[in-house]
Amino acid sequence: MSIRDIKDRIVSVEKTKKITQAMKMVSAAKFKRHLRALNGLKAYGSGLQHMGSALARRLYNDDLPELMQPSQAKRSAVIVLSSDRGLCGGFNVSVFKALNALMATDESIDLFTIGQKSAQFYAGKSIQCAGSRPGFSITTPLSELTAYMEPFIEGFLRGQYGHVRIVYNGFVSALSANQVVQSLLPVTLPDWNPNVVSDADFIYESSKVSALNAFCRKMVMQQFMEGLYNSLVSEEGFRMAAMDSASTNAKEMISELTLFYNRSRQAAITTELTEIVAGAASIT
Amino acid sequence: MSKGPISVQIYAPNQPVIQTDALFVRLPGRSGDIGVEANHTASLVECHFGEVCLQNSNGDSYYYMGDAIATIENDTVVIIASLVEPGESIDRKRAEAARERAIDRIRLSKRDSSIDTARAQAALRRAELRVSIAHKCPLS
Repeated sequence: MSIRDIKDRIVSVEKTKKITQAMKMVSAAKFKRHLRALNGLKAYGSGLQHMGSALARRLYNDDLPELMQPSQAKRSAVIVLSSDRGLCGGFNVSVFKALNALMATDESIDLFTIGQKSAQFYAGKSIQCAGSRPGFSITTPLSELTAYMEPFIEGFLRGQYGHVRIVYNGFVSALSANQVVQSLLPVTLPDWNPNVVSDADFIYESSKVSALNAFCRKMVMQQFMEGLYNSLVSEEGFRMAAMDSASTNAKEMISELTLFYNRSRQAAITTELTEIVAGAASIT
Repeated sequence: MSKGPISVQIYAPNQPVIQTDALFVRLPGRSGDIGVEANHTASLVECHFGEVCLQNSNGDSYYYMGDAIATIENDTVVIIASLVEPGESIDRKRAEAARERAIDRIRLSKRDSSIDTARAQAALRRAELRVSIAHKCPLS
């Protein structure tokens, strides 16, 4: 490699470093914004849980709304949340591993993908995707998310699916995530015990069935959105770490190349000096 | 005899939790408006989009709310809504522009069958409600 080649290489790596540093800063800004949205959604979820606890104390077995009743259907729908873009380290691979482990234990799964990376990954496999769509963002309106989930709710009510689950990267910290398999349907209330039910007066407006179904739909949407926001926060966390690592590698490479460049330059100067001295000696 | 205050908590994905006290709460129930005071019977209320009014001794506050459900229990009202906007933060000009757009779409739908009239009418109702709430709040 000539000295000029080394110089060009250093310039190229420096440019790459600038790009990865900029990408890291963009990811950090998105990470903060998404994390704020996730925390807001968790507060909303705590309100729903609080309401769920109040309802759980009043529900007999016969009162369960359709969305809470266990289904006899054998097939289940699994929605996997991945990213649209790469350069985010092991973010997608870890969620695919969790999904593959789930699919190894259950063969009656209809797979639905959100995010282009999962669609691309499963396109080359023997697994047939029942549906794919690009990823949602933090600004996607609730109406669009509801429209996406509606066929799954209808599928559950029709008896097409016995379970609806989502698989995603749950946010732990900027550098780590755990893979979560979350059941959306049937809706479960953790505090519900049909043997411990209060008989105190309780009024349902407009009707019991309608009010309980409205509650269940809100639970499904909240859990889906929490999964989605978790995935978006984790993606930016992984991307931030990946870009930081790439910037560090670029810095090391520049340092090594600079050393190599200086040595080569020095060797060339020494050779030239030796030639000049030898030439001068031969004349005198 | 005036009744004591009730605690109100409003949860929505677009908004930090709103926690306040009120002497009276009016909710847009599906089968008509529902008023809540202290010692109200425990209830689960299904609400459609509309106006929530919290009455206090120092004045009333208004909120625009999307579809919601609410529980009333132990003098606490917990509202879980798809969207909440305090009246003070409603952008009046934007709401009025949305109303004008909805009126235009309804007018056009008489000639253009591709326009969803029901959707345009729902948008008009929402916009009119937001304008009306914004007018009730002095800071908007």
